Amino acid sequence: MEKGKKEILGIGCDIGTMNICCARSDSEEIKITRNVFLPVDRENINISELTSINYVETGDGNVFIIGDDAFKFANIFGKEVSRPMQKGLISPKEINAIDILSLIIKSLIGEIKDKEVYCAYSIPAESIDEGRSITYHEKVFSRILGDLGINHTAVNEGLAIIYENCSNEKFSGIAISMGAGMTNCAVAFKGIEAVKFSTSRSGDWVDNEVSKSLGLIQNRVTSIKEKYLNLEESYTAQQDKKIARVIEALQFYYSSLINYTIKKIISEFKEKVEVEISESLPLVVSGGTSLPTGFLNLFKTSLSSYSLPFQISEVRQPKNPLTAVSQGLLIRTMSDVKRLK
Amino acid sequence: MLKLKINKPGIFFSIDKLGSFHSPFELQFPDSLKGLVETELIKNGIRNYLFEIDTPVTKVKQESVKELKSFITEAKKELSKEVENKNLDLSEVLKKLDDLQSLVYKVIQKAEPGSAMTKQPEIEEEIFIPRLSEKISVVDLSVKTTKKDDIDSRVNLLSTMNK
Repeated sequence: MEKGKKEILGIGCDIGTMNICCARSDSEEIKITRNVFLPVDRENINISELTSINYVETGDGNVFIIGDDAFKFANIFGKEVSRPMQKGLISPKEINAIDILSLIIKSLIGEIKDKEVYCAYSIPAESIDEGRSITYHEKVFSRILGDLGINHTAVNEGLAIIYENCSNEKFSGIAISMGAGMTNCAVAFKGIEAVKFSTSRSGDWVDNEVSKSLGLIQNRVTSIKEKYLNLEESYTAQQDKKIARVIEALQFYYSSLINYTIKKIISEFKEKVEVEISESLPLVVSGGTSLPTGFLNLFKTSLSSYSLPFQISEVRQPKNPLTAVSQGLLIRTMSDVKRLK
Repeated sequence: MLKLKINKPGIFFSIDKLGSFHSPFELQFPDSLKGLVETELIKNGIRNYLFEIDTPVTKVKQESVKELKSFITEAKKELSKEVENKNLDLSEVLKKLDDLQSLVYKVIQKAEPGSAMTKQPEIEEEIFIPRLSEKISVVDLSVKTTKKDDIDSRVNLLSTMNK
């Protein structure tokens, strides 16, 4: 490297409602952590009891357990975790949301000293069934990354999936990103974004409906879903009756979510989308909500019962639906950096 | 126009036609949005609020701005006629007048209360987006990891296509 010239570092940062994933150009690994925190009552806990747990203590005496540890701790003690984000955007309910998000992002990105850093970060599309604007959300993350001295650009998460998964089609495809907070849909031709929108139902909606139906806290439902849900086998295969009941409800709501999403996509294309899609495109379904075994088959089966306003060549999933967005964002960052050189 | 000031920090306030704000903030809005603003205030549990009326100042200033703009336009027309009639090369003078005109417009826009309304979201973003609290220390966050793919070919293809 030339003397005085800084090493270039590319980053793809997927800021999701449930997980934040970060891919770096100088690392072979993608880092993932839960986007949750748990406020702990200072008077009821001795700090020495938290030695093996990730926590932060604020100057005014508040203690927060953050990331995966917050999720585990909350499930052990039957508490509800706090979420810095809700329905894909910064939560208006949580005063500490931005501090916690800044902290998690800074920690996930890691060491950047003496490097020229470029980062693409994910943003959702405007929702067609929820009135919130994404501007505030986008600008807050721009500010957080700017404060860290990182050159940054916001990229729609659906488009990031197309960068990650559709290189064989020269980045033409339809992406459906089913995260925790919302479902994002994007269509791109030759790497250019043509259509994007989102719906406000996804994994959290499923968990919330199940928790209301069965009187459980939502993160307990999430935990059962992540450990046991298989959409290809009957809930009766589960020996534990309590878990079987949750699995049964999860299966109902998964089916309902997929049908709702397909219907919304069809009506949006029929009523509002002016783009004419003349060729068959691959449809890529991704995101944490698409992780359970059997999801892709359930999606394909549901899709086959509808008449679509566009032609699909294939329905598929990325190798890792949880980290596909961060990897797609890194592809975009490195491509931009290449053009800058 | 009405004016609303919320000093209590930590309240998130979102109105379709105005944008989203984190308190503390000061907001100017048309009378027609009063109902929407009141609903949002009640939703956030704010009951002791007071709207200030801003109408007279705005109207007076808007009138004087109109007069000033038409005066400048008329003056330009008159000067152009003069140049044509006397066959004088006063293009340099007209250019200076154009510069002066855009400068005056810039000054007017800054002083005009009406323009503050449309620029409100920018002002709000500039002032009210919170930053990482200095009181919170950075921790070594425990994370899960997964192996990254070799992305070089995709990067090359995307960068070639974008060229």
